[in-house]
Amino acid sequence: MEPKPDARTPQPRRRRPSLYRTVLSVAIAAIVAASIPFAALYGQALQPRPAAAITAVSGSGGTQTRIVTTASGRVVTQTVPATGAGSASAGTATPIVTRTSVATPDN
Amino acid sequence: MASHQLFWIASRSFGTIAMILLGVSVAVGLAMSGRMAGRPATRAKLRRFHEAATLVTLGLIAAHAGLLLLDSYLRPGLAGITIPFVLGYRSLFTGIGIIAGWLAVVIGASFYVRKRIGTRTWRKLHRFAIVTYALALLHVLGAGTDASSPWMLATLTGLTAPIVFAGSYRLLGAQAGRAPFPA
Repeated sequence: MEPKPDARTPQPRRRRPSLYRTVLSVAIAAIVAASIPFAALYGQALQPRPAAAITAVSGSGGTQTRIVTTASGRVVTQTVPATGAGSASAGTATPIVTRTSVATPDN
Repeated sequence: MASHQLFWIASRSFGTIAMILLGVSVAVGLAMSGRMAGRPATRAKLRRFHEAATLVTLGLIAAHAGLLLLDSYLRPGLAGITIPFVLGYRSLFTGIGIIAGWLAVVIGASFYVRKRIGTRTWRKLHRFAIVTYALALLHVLGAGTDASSPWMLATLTGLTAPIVFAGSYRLLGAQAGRAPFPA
């Protein structure tokens, strides 16, 4: 006859060593996977952007305010005559602030 | 320079991987509950992976939101990343994302208080996992900077198809009289 197990004896806790291993493996995989879009997007952000300009007719004086994103990513504003062929003067209007234009203090 | 975009890009990257892992976790959960994995050993492995993937997803969601706090352009503030519809940036869809995040936390945590709340309640709560995925999908499509990118659309399609398949398989199995396993 086998002895009955003592009911007061604490039962061994259910061991879950491989859950820790699985969590760690999935976490490592997730971080490595996250580095792929991160590297791609960050590399893209480092690329110089092509120059672009937004032009709007200002309220008075028949002039146009042109907001230009230069190839280096710098934003400058230019005021030119409405005919479009005149000389440019920089810094007369408040530049439109975008995510790509707020970084450097020289903007 | 792109240094000011560091946290923004890191947040987007973590968000993307969180979405992928959430989709995988939901798909695995549905596959288990629909008895798609027959052998007990396979089921045990899948359950362990499901649990691990859910825990890591919660960490990635926290990183996705937390990194936004460090973004000098968005400056969402703690309320902006934790309370739905407070953030001014694409308010509706960021709000939906926050709801999805909290839902994921509640569903994930419920596993560990299953005995306290009762298996039936836990099972009912667990059904909202698919709602969490649907809300997260809406969040990505509505607020995601990369939502219209072909790689993102391909990823979302690739994630959603197995979930719909596993969900349909489970529903059809339940209708045919087979008692599905709890996820």
